[in-house]
Amino acid sequence: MNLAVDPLISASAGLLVGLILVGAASHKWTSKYEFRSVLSAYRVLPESSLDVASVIVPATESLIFGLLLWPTTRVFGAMAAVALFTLYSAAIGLNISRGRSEIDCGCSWAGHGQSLSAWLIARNGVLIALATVAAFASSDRALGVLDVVVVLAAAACGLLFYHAADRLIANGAKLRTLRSAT
Amino acid sequence: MNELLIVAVGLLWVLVLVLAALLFALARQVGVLYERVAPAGALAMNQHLVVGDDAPVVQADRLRGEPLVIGGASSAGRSTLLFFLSPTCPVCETLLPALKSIASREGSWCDLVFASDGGGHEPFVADHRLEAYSYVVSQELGVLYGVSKLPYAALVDEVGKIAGFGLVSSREHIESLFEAKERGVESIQAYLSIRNAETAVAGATGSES
Repeated sequence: MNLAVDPLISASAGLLVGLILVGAASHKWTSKYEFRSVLSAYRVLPESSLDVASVIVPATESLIFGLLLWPTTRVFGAMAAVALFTLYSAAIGLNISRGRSEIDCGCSWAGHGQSLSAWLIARNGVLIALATVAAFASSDRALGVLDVVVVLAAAACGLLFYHAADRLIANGAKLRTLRSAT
Repeated sequence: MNELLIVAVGLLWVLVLVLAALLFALARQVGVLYERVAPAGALAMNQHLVVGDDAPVVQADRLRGEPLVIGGASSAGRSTLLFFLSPTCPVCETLLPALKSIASREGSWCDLVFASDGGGHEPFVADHRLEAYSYVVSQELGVLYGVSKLPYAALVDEVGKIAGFGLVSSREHIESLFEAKERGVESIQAYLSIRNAETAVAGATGSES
């Protein structure tokens, strides 16, 4: 059985996952202090390791982005991305089961105070699926100019959908608080 | 035929990208709307203070200058806005510009007092240019005003009574304390329950007619 997918597919999936990660990382770099308090609210790491962790997490995300960009290293990047998203989902799931779903998820650009919900785990599931696609070996068809255009367009489109979905998840939480308040 | 396909796929991509951008913009705007329609107010959570009661009178040490008496009727007929903060609280920092602008706008009738405890205040005051404001360091003040979470604010009116208090995390929350004083409503919770009762009455009469 040949599991190789067309390089167009894996390149698009890889670029999209990479862009999402590098976006998340840049956000964490620029507001390091806030990210530290978000990490602390998750209560999954000892307080003493938070300073280191708040640097390691965005550094790992940036590194995975770099790995995903090149066809030769894409497989490793994609596997690392799967592991990272699984970890995030586990941390979110753990806090939901602890009943601490009101903490800031720290996972979106939709502003502060997006609380945890099962939607975030579903969203991470989609990201894991995308990263898995990127991890498949691609057949050795050479990519032409048109392929590159399609890869860029597909990644840009996927990024917009990702942020739209992110907004909708955040809006859903806002709407729920609005309904319960009035 | 091949050329037609390339053009058609290219055109489709352009359309899909435009649609995706529109979807994103719509989702953003819906979020902004939800935020705007939500009533914002300081969450009053306290076992010590009751709106309308006399505010605890505390003599607190000022970071610079002589001690300041907080609470009690003001001879000058001025109200006091107490803002409880800590140099290590990032949300408190984000509120400082809003507080400064409120202090200058409401300066004719209201004094702004920053209150904190613990240490590390001098660099904080210098960093954020709070030298011009009263900055008191007193543990007693926080205990008597029942401060459990930061940033916290309490408004003491000109006769020394509590006009409003609560957990404040945005400019709207701070301004809700002034609004509460003007309207004579205790807290956002009280306002919401009054409004709920009104809507229930309106709904009942609406279904009858």
